Amino acid sequence: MYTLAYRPDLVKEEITRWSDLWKPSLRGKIAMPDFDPSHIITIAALMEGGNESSWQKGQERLRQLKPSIVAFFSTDAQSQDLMKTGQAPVQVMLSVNAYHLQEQGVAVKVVQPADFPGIVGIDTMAVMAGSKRADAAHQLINLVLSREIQSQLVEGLRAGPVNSGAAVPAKLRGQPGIFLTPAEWKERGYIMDDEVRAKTLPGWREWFTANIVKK
Amino acid sequence: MKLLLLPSLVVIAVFAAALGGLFRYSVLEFVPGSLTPGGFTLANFRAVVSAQYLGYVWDTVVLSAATTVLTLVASYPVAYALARTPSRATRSWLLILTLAPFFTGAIVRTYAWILVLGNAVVTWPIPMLFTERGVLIGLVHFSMPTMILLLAAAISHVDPAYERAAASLGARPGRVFRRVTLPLSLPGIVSGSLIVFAWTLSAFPTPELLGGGRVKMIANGVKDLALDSFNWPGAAAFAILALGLTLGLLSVVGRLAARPAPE
Amino acid sequence: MIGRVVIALLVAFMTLPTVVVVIASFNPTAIMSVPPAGLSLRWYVNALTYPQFRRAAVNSLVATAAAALLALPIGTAAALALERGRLRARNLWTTLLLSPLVVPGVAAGLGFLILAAALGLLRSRTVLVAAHVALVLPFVARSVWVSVRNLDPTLERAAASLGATPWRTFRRVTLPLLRPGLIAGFLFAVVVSANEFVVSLFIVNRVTEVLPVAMFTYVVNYTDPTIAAISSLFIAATVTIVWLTDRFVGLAAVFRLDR
Repeated sequence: MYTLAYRPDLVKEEITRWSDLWKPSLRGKIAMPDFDPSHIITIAALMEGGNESSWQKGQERLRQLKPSIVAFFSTDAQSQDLMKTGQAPVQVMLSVNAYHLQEQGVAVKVVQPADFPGIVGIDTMAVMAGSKRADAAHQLINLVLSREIQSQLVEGLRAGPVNSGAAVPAKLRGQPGIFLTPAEWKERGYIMDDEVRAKTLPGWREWFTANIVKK
Repeated sequence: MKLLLLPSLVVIAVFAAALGGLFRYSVLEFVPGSLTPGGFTLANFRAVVSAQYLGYVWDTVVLSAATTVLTLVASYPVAYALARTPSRATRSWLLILTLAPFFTGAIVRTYAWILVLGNAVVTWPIPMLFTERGVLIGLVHFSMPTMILLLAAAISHVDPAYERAAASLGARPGRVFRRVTLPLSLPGIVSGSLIVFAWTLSAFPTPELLGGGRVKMIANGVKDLALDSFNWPGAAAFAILALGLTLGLLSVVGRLAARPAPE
Repeated sequence: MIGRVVIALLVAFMTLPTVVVVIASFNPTAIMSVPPAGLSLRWYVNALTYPQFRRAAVNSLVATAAAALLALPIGTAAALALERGRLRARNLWTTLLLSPLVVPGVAAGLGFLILAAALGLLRSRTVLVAAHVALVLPFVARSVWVSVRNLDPTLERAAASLGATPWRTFRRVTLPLLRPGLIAGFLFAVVVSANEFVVSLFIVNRVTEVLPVAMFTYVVNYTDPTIAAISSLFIAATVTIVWLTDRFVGLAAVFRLDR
């Protein structure tokens, strides 16, 4: 789930909502991905009463955020570096990556935002059209969705399972990005319309690069 | 005898087929969310000459020009030493040290700069990594071996007799260099510079890894369009623009190099 | 004197990153520090046991060997034809042969991707090898051509007049005389193909991935010094090759610097 992650040792205030990003005290401390701006664009749109389809509503909001952004990262490695060195102690990042940083010994706090949910990032598996091994592909998908594998994924990656029968350790329950029931999916996560996302992503990237990334 | 060219012709044909595909896609319509393009359109080329993409081109040209100048200045002394040193051992070592980075590949060298520029060795007073100056340093470092080799070959073609003659007529080393060596090695300087400039225009790994998403050159733009936005038609159009730029520049080299060099 | 200092500084600039990489590869922790807090080989172990690197290394080996072994005879044939064939369109041929050098990597890469998609060859190594041959051929042809140009035809004519068949002349006289060019050409082919990144980035997938692409993917996702370790191995291998070439063939000769 794309959410906010920050270093409490470098950012003295608590961050609990998406709208905290716009606080003047966080000027020059924020980093976010530039390869996929869909999350912050959607959040800005939601704040203005729209959504990913009517994303233009959030454009002005995003422009207001620009001075607070100190860096954009194109890769996970860059994001990690920015967090480790403290160059960008507040980031819009995938909860899984934030947990990875925690494992590496970096004190990162992952936020379950109170005003709007985090944007769910779903790993997808696709069977190619015209594939001659569709059966084998389906078998693999069944395996990946099985209770056993899902439990291992939850444990190892701290990602939320899609199989509600998967075992989730007590310490992970309720953590940002880990949903146990369909109700939790809806309440604590926001799932973008996938068709809109696929069709609009190039346009989002272009607008974002021209208006937000470029100095 | 001519049959010997047949295998090469096959290879060239395959390469031409690849470029053909590029041209074909550049005039087909991009359908967002799909890899199958639509019908004939010039929209891709229109998009590519918009402000945003011309911005890429401008940034690339400026960065490439700066790289070329700095590379030239940094490479000439080493090239001179390489060409003129009487000691075979020194020449060998200079060659190995020049060539070795060349042969370790783009990723290794760029990663090395990620370390050096990224506060792992020294804490820099101003940000170096993910800035234009960082990319510039990486590009210069990348181009030096090529420039050194081209310059050294040109300098070694300058008959030392000219330099000796000038010296024997009373000219001091600085003057000898300015009035004899430099002008006579000029063809090498020009062609070396233009080659480095043309190659830097297409640079990809250096700005990709050292640019941090903020410093983007044409090649990064093409990759973003093709592999991140899945806009193959748009990427193709932009790639053809890059190709045109490079070919234009190199035809200038060709014309300049065709002038007979002073022997 | 100042000249020597300047040159030493410049050479230091050229080699500094290499030195830093090697030092960093022995760092005991994931968060880099130079000078390192200790010495550890764990990243070397990680690099050598990382399954994707192993697969990519094999892919690189196969692709590079195929490309070099294919490009050598093709390039030699072309060099001979260009120098001796008395072709009318000689300049055109030369331009065509050298053309892959001037095409930006991303353009060629995207083009080959489109070609592979059109031919339904997205999962095969064929297009990768074909691309590498095309990219490496100019280097090979040029290197061999230098040797061909310096070939004295009287030696071959002498062999022929002594009764040797054209093939025997080629094998026993021409080829041995072309040795420096062939070795240099092969060396170039191997090094260029082994390091080829941009074009390969576009046309490989996880299964056919070559080592530079695998390393790029790693750098982009992880910040630990594993890449430093594998880079050091790369550096050691290439420096050795370059040094050996200099010892046995003389690099100065290859680059025509010994006048």
